[in-house]
Amino acid sequence: MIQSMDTKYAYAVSRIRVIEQQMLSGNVLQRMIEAESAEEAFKVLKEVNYGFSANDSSVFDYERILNEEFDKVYQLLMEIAPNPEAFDLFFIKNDYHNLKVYLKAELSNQDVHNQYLAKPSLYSPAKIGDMFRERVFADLPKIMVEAIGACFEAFSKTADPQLIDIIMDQALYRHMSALASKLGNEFISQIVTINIDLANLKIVLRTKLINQGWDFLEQFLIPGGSFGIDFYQDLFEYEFKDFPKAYAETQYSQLAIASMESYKYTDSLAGFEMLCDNYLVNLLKQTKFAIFGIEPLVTYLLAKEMEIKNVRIIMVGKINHLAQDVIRERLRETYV
Amino acid sequence: MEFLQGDLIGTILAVLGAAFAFVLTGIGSSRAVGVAGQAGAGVLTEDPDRFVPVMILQALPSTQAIYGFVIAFLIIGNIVTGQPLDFGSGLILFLASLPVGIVGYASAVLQGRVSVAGIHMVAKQADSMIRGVILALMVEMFAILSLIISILIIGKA
Repeated sequence: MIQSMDTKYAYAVSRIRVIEQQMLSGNVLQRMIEAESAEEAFKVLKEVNYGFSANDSSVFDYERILNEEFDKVYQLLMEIAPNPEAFDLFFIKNDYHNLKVYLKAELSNQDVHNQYLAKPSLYSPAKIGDMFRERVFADLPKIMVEAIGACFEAFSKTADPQLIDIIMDQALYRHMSALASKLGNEFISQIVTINIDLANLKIVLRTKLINQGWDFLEQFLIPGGSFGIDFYQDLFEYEFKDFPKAYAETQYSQLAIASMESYKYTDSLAGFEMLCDNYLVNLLKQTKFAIFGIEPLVTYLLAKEMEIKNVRIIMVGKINHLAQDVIRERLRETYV
Repeated sequence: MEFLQGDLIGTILAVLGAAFAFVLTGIGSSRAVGVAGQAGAGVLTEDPDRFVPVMILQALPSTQAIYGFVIAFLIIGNIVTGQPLDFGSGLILFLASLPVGIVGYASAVLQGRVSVAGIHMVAKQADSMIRGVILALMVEMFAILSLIISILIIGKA
């Protein structure tokens, strides 16, 4: 169990404990899955007041409603957290996403459409747009500026847009690690480390699936996780069925066994990605009884993100008339 | 430093004891009630109807300051103006302040944490106040015992 003595969060944690009650339970998600049509499933979202404008939207606006709901979480945290900047590292991925959009638009001479931009971000997309026009990035953090520079340089040599993704993803994780170590909170560092470890495992699995070599893989690997480059070099030589052995002594041993089991039966990595999400949710559950500290707030943010992911899975499934069981299989564990 | 050898030393020790008993328990209770109040405000922002259970849970750690007040009062009662206490009595009165001061401080702060947890219980289930109160009262017992010990020691002065 995770316990903190940081009493400055006393107000915020209590408020979160009340608000948590309104998170969608497994029952509500079941009701959505069992709804006769996508419209009926959407009605459930209206009932629970999802987003800001669900009542005057149609089922095809669900994506906007989900974004609004996440915006609500962001605004709440900014309002109640004694130090809102502690949450920067959880929103900075949207900045990196936006930077990628601008970079790719810039390098292919296209305009940026608002629909591709992610919210909420630390730097407003409009401001980033201005920076790209003037080519002055001085206001951004150093890691971002360096990554942008590296992208321009790499692109001028090879003109391969995939390089932008590689450079930006690595910079994102480096940035998250840097912000986490500045905070010095064990729980948050743990989350960042787990994210890096699982992202790296995902990269290894995908590289093997598309039959690429170590040289290809090496450039994608993200530094800063629990394992060094040697670990992945060894791992890369293993067959999928032997992966659990490599992780046997680590916290991921169960996850590795279950993932490879799921891969064996389904021949896809969807099961693995679901297990990764469930792994995180189970970590979050450790903060359920914490009375002070930032942890319950972080948990709310990430649990809410997971909830929105679940609702998205259901809505996509309902709109595409998927069978109920198929949707249910893809659902992530719920926090509440 | 002449007074340390003079007639007043006993009286000064007793006064120090009275101050010690109340200052420590007062700080402990203030911290605990303060943090429970913050937690309570968080719940009430979302659900003002839970005011009564939240208020009761918030008030629980204030009793330690009352115990400190009682001891301080009894010690001061032993001091008679114009009749200096002898050194032995003064020392006993000072020592009498230690149990309630130290145990009262610690139990107030820790009871405050239980109160916050109880307020979180109320946040989840409106009818769980009694359970929260009982859990917090478990901590109260130690403050009461320290109060009794302090009173017994004062009786020997």
